[in-house]
This record gives sequence, structure tokens and C-alpha cells, in this order.
Amino acid sequence: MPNEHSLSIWGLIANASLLVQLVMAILFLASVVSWVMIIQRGMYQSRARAKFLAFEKKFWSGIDLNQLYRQSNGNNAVDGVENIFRAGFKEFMRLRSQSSADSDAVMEGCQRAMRVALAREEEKLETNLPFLASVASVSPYIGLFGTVWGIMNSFRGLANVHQATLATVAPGISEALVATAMGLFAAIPAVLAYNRFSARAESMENHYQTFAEEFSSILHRQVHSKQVSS
Amino acid sequence: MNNQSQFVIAAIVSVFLHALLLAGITLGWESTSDPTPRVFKPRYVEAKLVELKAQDTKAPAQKKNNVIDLTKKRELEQQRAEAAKRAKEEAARQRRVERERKAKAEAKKKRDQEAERKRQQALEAKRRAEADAAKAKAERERQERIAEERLDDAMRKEEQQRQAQLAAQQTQSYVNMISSRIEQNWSRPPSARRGMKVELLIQLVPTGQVVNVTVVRSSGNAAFDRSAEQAVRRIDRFSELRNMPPTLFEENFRQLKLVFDPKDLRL
Repeated sequence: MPNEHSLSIWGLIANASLLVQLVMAILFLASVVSWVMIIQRGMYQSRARAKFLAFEKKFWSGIDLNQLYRQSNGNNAVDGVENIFRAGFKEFMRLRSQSSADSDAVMEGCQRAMRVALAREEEKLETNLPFLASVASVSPYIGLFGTVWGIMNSFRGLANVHQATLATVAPGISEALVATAMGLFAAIPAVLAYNRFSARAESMENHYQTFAEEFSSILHRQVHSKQVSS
Repeated sequence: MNNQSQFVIAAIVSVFLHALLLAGITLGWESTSDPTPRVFKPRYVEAKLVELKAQDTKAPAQKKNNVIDLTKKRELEQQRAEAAKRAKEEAARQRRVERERKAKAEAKKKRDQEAERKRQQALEAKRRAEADAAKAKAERERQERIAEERLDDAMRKEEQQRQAQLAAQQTQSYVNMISSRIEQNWSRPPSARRGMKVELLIQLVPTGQVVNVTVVRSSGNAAFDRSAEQAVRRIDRFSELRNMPPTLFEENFRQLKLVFDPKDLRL
């Protein structure tokens, strides 16, 4: 039994068995990566929200749609709801330039294009969320596994000792419990972030859908007014 | 700001956060739990031989080196035996001398009386003076002898004391050994508390075999008493006692009284 058991956290980690150390390393890595995801998601979603609000404001300000389309023509870093608008409007312009297409075909084409763009945006909003979910659900188990293994070893060592005092078992158990602590440490932020980000993604999707519907109603009005006039 | 740069920023922030956390944990952990729990108390039993308490105080300095060295022990034993023999011889000699002296003194007295009678009868001044001189001489001799005897006595006493000290030391070391063996084998019940004392009477035979164990004075907790008794019974034989000089064994170890009070319990 190593008597000069260093009880600092580094001592505990260094004295753990190889498997427990491996578990700890996995958990630490999972924590780091999940935090990368959390920060990146947070930044992306808040930016998407800001962009959506700004675009909606601009859209309903009475600006000409052609002008709006041309404004964002230059930069290719178009994101979020603008993509939906551009997909729908591009399709609308193309179909309308072909004189043969009737109004229902134009509307259908526009709606399809917007649906595709919407699906892409949804996908963008939800990337990496499955990773967070799996970290949230699995890392407590991994930590628990490390702990059980460590305690198992510590009790096996205890079997050789004549008189079991608390001092002979405690370092091993403490060392094993570090793994559970790390598992929980990785899991808790991941759970919170997953819930928050999936809720936010859903609300953004709803916003996008609403916008797509509104925009298609505008296009619909334009197509039919043209038909009536022509 | 595209996705790539976003990822880089996120990665940097995340790694920084973790580094910060690790540093915090390390520092916080060290400062809170460093000083106390690293001091593991050494486990020991305070076992005292009840009869030897008075002598223990006499030789506190020598008590420390109670390591059992077999050769040293044998040497000591020899020395002891020799010393005992010497002491006996000395005593015999002393007694003889004393007897002789007494006999002589008596004879002299008789002679003196006779001389006195003769002197009275003969009234010879010369003889009287002679007798006086002889008397004075005898007196002087006697004084010398008494002084010598006193010196011898003191030396003998000192030797005896040294022997006793040595024996006490040996006894103490054996007792320590026995009590540490018992301590190792002693699994105390959960109800054991600090301050409990149990006095055991262990009956041994010269091979070190335990013949009988009885609780002389209970600690008040039956489970505790029983556990101590069990510990002795489990050891069954103190094989170290085989090499002990028999006189020492007879003196102290045939009926050994030990007091156990576990001071290492954290209760």
C-alpha cells in the first residue's frame, strides 16, 4: 500500500490504474469538445437570430424585392433566412422569364425551392446537437464505469490487508470517484446546452417557415395579379 | 466571420475555460486539503506491564532500544549468570570472613580476659601494655574490615540494580513485541471507542504457547473484551518467547497481565 499517497487531485489521477486514467482522458476530451460545440452553436444561433430580425425588418420596410435580391448578390456569405428568400426569388424570376409557365407551376417551383433552402437552414441550425446529446447521455456512464473499476481494484487491494481501516480504502475510492465527477462535469453542460440549443433551433425553424409562407403569399399575389393584368 | 473562424474561436475559448478550471481545482484542492489528511497517525498500542510500572520510570533512556538481538541477549544472559555466581561467591566469602572475624574476636577476648587474669595474678605492667596494643590493633583491623565490607555491599547492590534494570528492559521489549502482535491481529468491533481499556491475563508456557486468556478487568463493552481475547487466541503461539531466558519467563511471562487501550481509533 503506498503510504505517501499524495491526496492532491494530480496525485489521485497519477495513482489511478491505466483504465481509469483512460476513462478520465476520454471524459476530459469529451468535455473539451462539447464545450467547443456549445460555444460554436451559441455563436451561430445568436447570429442567425440577429440576422433574421434584421432581414425581416428590411423585408417589411417596403423595399423593392428586386433591389433586396441584388443587394445581397455580391457577397457569398449569405446565411439564414436570406438564403430562403434568395432561393424563392431566383426560382420565381427564372420561371417567370419563361413565358410558357403558368402561374400554378411558378408558385409550385418557388415553394419547392424555398422548402429545399429551408431544409438546408434547419440542418445548419442543428449540426453538432446530436454530439452534445450523446455526450450528455453517455459520459455519466463512462465515468461510472471508471469509478466501479477503480473501487473494484481498491477492494481487491483491501483483501490483502489484515485490518481494514478507513485510511486503507479511502484513497482508492477517492481516486475512483474522480472519474464520476469528471463524467458529470462533462454531462451537465452538455445536457443544458442540448436542451437550450434544440429549443432555439426549433423556434428559428418556425420563424423561417413563417417567413417562407409569407413570402410565397407575396409571390402568389404577384403572379396572379400579373395573370389578371395580362 | 465564417464557420471556420467560429470553430477556432470556440476551440480556443473552450480550452482556455478548461485550463482555468484545472488550475482552479488544483489550487483550491491543495489549499483546503493539504495540511491535515496527509499526516497518517502511526498505529501503536499503549500496552504496559502492570507490575513493571515502577521500574519503567527508572530506566527511561534505555527503554528505547528494545530491539531483540539474539546474540546480545545470550551474552547478557551469560553475563547475568556469571554475575549471579560472583555475587553468590562474594556473599559466601563475606559470611566466612564474618564468621572468622567473630571467632577471632571471641578468642581474642578470651585471651584478653585470661591475660587480664594473669596480669592481675602476675601484676605485670609490660604484659598489660602489650595486650592493649593488640587490642588496639584488632580494633583497627575490625574497622578496616567493616569499611571494606561496606564497599563490597554497595558494589553488590549496584550490580543487582543493574541486573534488575536489564531484566526489566528485556521484559519490556518482549511485552512490546507481544502487544504489537496482538494489536496486529486485533479486529476491533465497531462499538469500540477511544479510552476503552481491557486488562487481559495471558497464561503462557515456555514455548510461547498461549494456555489460557482471561479478562481481568473489563472495559465495560463485552464485544470489545471479546475481540481482544479473540486476538490473543488467534495468535495462539508467541514463538519469540522460545529464546527467552527461563528465569525471566518464570518471573514475568507465565502469568502476563496486559492492558490494552487503543489510542489509534478515530472514533
